[in-house]
Amino acid sequence: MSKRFVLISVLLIVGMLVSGCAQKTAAPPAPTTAPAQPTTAPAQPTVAPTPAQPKKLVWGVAMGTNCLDPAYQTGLPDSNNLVNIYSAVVKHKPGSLTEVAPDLAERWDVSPDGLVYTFYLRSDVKWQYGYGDFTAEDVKYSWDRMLNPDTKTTGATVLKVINSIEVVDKYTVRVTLKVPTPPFLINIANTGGALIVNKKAIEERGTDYCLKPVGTGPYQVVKAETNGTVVLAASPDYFGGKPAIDEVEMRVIPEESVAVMALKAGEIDFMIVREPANIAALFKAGPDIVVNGDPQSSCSTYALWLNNTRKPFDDVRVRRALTHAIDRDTLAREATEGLVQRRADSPVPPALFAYTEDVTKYEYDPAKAKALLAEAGYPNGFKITVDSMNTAFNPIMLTIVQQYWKQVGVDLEINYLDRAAIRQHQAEGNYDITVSNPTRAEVGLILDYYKCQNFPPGPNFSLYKAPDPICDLMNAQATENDPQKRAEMIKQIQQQITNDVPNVLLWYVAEITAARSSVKGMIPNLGSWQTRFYLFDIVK
Amino acid sequence: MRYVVRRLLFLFPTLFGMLVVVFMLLHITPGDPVEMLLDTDREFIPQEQIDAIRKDLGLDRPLHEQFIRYVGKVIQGDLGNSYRSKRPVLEHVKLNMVQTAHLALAGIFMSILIGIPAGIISAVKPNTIIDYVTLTISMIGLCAPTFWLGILALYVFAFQLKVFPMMGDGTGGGPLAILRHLALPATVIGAHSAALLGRLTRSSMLDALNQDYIRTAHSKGLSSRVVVVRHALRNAAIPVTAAAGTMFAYLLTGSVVVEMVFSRKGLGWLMVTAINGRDFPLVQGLILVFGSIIILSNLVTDLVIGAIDPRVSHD
Repeated sequence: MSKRFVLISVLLIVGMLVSGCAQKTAAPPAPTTAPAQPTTAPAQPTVAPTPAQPKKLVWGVAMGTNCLDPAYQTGLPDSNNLVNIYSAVVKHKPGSLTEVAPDLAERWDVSPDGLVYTFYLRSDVKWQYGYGDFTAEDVKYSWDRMLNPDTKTTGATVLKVINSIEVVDKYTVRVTLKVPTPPFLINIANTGGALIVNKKAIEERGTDYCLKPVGTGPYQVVKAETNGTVVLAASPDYFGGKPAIDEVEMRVIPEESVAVMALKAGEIDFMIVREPANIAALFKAGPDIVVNGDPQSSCSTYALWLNNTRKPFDDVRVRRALTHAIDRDTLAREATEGLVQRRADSPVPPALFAYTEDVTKYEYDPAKAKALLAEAGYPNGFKITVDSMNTAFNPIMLTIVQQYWKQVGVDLEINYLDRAAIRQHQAEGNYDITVSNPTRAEVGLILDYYKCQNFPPGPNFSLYKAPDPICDLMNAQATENDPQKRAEMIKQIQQQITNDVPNVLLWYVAEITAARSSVKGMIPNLGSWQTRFYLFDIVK
Repeated sequence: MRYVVRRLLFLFPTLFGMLVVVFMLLHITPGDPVEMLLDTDREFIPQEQIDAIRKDLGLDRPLHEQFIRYVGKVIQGDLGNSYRSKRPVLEHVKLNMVQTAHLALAGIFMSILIGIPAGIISAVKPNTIIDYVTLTISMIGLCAPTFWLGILALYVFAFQLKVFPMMGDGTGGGPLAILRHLALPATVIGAHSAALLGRLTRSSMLDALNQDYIRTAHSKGLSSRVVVVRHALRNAAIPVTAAAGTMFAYLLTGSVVVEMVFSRKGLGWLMVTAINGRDFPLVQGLILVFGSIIILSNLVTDLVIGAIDPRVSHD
């Protein structure tokens, strides 16, 4: 008797569970996204050339969104959406890493001492979703919020040079800096944390704000899911006019090889590519797919960071030997499927201010490498470990480097760790060699990776100690108002760094994206974490 | 009934033990959640700011205190907030639960649908060509990594033949869309279990078919179909049911890979992102959910076995 009862109750429970699930899915909250099932491209017979057809762009990304608030953004999906939702005071001139263009500010003055910036703001800007007119108060609120320790932001360190923000009138705001900072404008154009937010919206929406942001940018959020998709629609209020693409949908595709299939099949229009095997596959995909990755627009130098405080890297001859031992031109070509043809000679990427070719260069010369190692007391080489993530170019690059170094007697052991572990090691300075490509669109921030005071915790991954005058110069250039003088200082720093080779520079990393050939107007700008969809168009 | 209550009470110490282990593992594994929150700016954030975030998350307290606080909250039904999204862990679970439930149930369905008939056929006709063919296929099913099988299925059926969608879970598109999106992932996730079930059904059927009562049934003049289905299968079903129950655990863990390959939302994929981002509250919350499901499914299996096998008693 009781057994039958148990059996029946079990069946009932299972039945209830199943029907519970079915009910939940049968009543979705709001069918905002179209079901992802256009199995065949609907381009052929039905779509007549109706001009009013809304244009939609779907892009694939490996992670979901977390928070669309400039103060708490974390990860590429967030930052890529932010620059399309919000406006900045100034933005990058498209295609340039050293010049800025008006955004919310129509024009601006800088005092001769470089301390006071006065921004004259547009008077025709409206907040999305009826949050009223944009004024100078909003700029003050946004930046004060980022500077307020109680906000506990995870970013926006470039705003720390601000001493005070003053509202002069409704459309004028005056910012006083603590020290002259020549790249201040570039820095605020680069930084997601410097985007302008609305006080009322943040206070009203509270914990929902992450998924329901309000900006003044070209797109507004229609739908955003925690750890999931973001759907943007052209904002009717945008002061810059309606963007060419009406709707932008971010689709989370954790496996990059699946995203490649989806791009080839036309299910997505745009993606960011990291894995060399997928770059190769996309190159072979035919005329429908365009791969972009111009190293000239790179603001990132890929390098092996040798721990200068550990033996044998405390000896400059060893560091030079290891650089001479690698044919870095070939390495770059092989690892990037030919996208990058040349090695990096300077720590500063060519697209940035004051880059110079006039530095110490290290040609491929294994005999010289061996001689240098012998001179340094390592005629039989040594064994050393590199800590790296096994993603993107790292595995192929390290495998090739391992072979090159073996020829001069250096035995490289590769230790793959996940991102979190690598970050902790880097924060502690606990490694022989670590792999990193600092990505910074301002030369001063690139130099921070070599500054004497920036030992762990800090960005000086090589724990490199430059000669004292150069240390001073690195600090001094940051506040030098005369561009010519500053450029001269930065050249001298580059020369010293390449002489001391704290790290083995590999190549300038281009952010590689792939798109359907129908996607137009992509301007290589600042890498993939600031993809500006309002500059895109789709022309079938 | 007393048995069920006793088993349910056992749930709590088991979950508590799991929580202790996971909590320790998370703190032993290298990787700092605060480091993972700081994104592109991380090297430039001053120490005070990092300390303030750490304090805000409660990570500055001694480990035992953090643990006691966490358990205290869990007892009140609060699994905390995700570090990264600032949203409640339970909201994450709710948003992703349905898709994983669909996947696991469809996976079980597929494995039973494929595995049991295949096992019966090879048991009824042992050492024939059919038996060898099913053996070969199930060996492939057992050995092929789910990841590889998934990519292959996607390439053939979604990319080349375009009969099934390539990604997503069809939520919002109605039951038909959900089923279409389930077909490939459920087959892939069920393949391993189907092979196991098939082999198990075959051996226990062979066992049963060699018993005296089968010979008796045959000699009574019953048709061989009735003998196989009513006499042999019923007895062979006991070990198979036991295995099917434990397979549920396998399907849940398999969902990690399958959800990533098929770009489905779900608890498995959520777990991967939580671990990668060292989102401690989310990892701990998900472990509790996974643990409860596995323990409950084992209980259900035991009850079902008790119901079909008169020799098993739970009192």
